[in-house]
Amino acid sequence: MGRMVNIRVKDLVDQVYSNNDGLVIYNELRNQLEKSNKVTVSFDEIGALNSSFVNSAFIELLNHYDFNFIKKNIRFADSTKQINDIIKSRFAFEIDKQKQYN
Amino acid sequence: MQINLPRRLNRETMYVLLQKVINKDFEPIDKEVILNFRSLTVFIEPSGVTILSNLINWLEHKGVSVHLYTGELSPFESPNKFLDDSMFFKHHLGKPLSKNAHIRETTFPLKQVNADSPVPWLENEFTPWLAKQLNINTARLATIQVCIEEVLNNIRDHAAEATGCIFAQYIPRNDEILISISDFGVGIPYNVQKLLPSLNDFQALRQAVIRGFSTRSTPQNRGHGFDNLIHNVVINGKGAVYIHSLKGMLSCTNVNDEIVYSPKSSFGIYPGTLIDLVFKTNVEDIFDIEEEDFSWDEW
Repeated sequence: MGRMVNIRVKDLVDQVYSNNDGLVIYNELRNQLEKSNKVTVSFDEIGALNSSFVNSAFIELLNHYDFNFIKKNIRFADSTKQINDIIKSRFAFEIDKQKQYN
Repeated sequence: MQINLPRRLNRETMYVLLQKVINKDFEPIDKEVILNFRSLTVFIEPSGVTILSNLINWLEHKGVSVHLYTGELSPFESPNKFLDDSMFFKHHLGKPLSKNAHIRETTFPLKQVNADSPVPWLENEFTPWLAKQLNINTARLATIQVCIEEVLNNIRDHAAEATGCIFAQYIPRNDEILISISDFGVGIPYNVQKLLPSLNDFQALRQAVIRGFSTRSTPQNRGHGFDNLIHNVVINGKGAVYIHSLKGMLSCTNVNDEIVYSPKSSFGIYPGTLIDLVFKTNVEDIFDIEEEDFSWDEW
């Protein structure tokens, strides 16, 4: 039985700029999800995110997990409108694309 | 070869200058170039600082010996005085023309930025400068910082030269900030045309900003950087994005809260890519960093 885990982004990376910064978060998410844990990702002290970071940290998860699984097991906290908009817009685009090809 | 700079230098007139130094095969016309600044007498747009600096960097990168002829600097307001106060001559000649040159309060001086690791510069220099201009907390500039990150990530992933030059000007009377960023890399159309060779340069620029289009230069690239940039600047910032690269130009402007894309062919070749971001400072959305709960409910 998994447990609830909190990940504070700023505890794992100094900056949220590059694909490599995003990959650090992605690897931690994979690590926790493989242990059947549910994860809360905290954006404490972060006001906005660019697309490279969001792609590498979160959108790459769609290569391994169903979107329903991601929704059920990952939540976001301490967020802002800009962060919510880019995460939602990026997932919406990828899910629409998946539907077109399936 | 001596080249007279145009009397007025902006994004449109720069092609008069570029045509004189770059041939149709995208090579320098001569091995030695003297840029005559004495003919720049009337006006220089803030992005002219970046345009000139990028041109000099490109020429030097191509092995051209570049000399700047300035003559005596007038003590009165002039384009060359603006360049001097922007630290343009200090950057390229090692020292300013005048011992009285000083960075104007509303100017963020010309800076070479390494696109591999710009965050310390953004957080410690650029964002505090802008926060001071607008008299707001740096936290409220997170979205503007993300816009610059999108441009620099693009340079890092596509330009082959991970360096960009940046210049910014706050224009209080227009409630505007102009941020001008340029690199002298291969150019956006070059990368797009590797995938879509039938497109000309301005068509390739338009293609490059279509949401989801990517040249996949790195596996994680998914073609959302320009879309995020343009949406934030044009819709949330009520501003505009102007992109010039090789023989293409693309203006992205706000008309009735919609983005209007206007691609055009240029009559000269821009060496690399120039991206001008114009933000309005009297709008709310781009400075909105209020906390908001995230919910998956809409799916």
